[in-house]
Amino acid sequence: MKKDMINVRAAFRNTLPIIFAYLFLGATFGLVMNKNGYGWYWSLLSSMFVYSGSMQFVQAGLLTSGASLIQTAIMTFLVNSRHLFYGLSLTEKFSKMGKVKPYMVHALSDETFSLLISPDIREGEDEKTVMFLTALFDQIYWITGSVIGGLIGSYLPMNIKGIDFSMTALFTVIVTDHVRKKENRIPAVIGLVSSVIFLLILGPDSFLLPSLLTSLAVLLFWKNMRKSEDKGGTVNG
Amino acid sequence: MDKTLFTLLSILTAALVTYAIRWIPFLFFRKHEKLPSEVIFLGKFLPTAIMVSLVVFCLRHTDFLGTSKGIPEILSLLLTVLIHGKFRNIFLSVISGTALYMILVNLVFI
Repeated sequence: MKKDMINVRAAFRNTLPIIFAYLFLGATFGLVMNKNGYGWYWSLLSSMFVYSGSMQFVQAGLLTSGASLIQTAIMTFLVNSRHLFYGLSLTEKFSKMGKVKPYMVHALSDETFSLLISPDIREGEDEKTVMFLTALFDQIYWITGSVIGGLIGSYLPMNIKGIDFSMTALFTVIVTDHVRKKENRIPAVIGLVSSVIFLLILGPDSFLLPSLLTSLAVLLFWKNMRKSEDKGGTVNG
Repeated sequence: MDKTLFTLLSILTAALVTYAIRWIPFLFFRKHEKLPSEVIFLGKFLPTAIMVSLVVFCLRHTDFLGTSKGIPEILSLLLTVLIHGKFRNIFLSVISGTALYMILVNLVFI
């Protein structure tokens, strides 16, 4: 039992940065669904099975406007296409997850992804268990927030402007930790240049996927360049 | 079609497409006993590039040329990074940056 508590505490420590954001954002989602005429049980279902913040908000709008199932499928693909890259980054880590892997894959929200790529594991803590509990806790906060928002409806001041900035702050902190390691600086610059260029060319709604694809291509190109340098040859040679 | 059934199907659709998207990368490399060196390499370096892109994604609607000039975002992220540099505590860093941002957008840059 004591061993379990160590891992539970570790997961709690890992997920601390996003507790309030998920509770409040989840509640905002529940609230929006409620205002559109969809009760807390719909929010519960959505947060359990879709579990994708941005897509869930989009779906609230799709449901109201009576979008078809095909339109829903296409929108889901467009909004969530970046999740293709999450699996790519976690293939090795997840290969050790065993029986809970199907759940881990389901739980790949943006924030859970950012917590799982470099989890804070200390001595005596089991990485597999902590990763699983981290993913689980995140979703529990999200579901809890959604249900509360759906239940309470308009009685709480859920429109606290700016609380979703916590996501931006979290991602920035993670980038900060990554670039402390020299080896991550070129990848960071690649990501930055790629996203800014595509943001300027394609606009806020269409830039992310092309930018991620480009980053991926440039990274592989960089890999080959490093390989040539290691072998003592020149790139042009 | 009955509204309840349709809503159920809609949510199921979004759920299945999302799950499929998340699964696809893992399915590609199932048959390999040893992962290709490219995948291992990407596993090491792609996350950083993705995280930077996600920061840009979060800031994509920021009004850098407009009224606020992105000052709430810039100041708040600066505070976040400084606090993190000093205390190395993710929770503290996120809370301080968010708090400053909320103060700025709710009380200052209205």
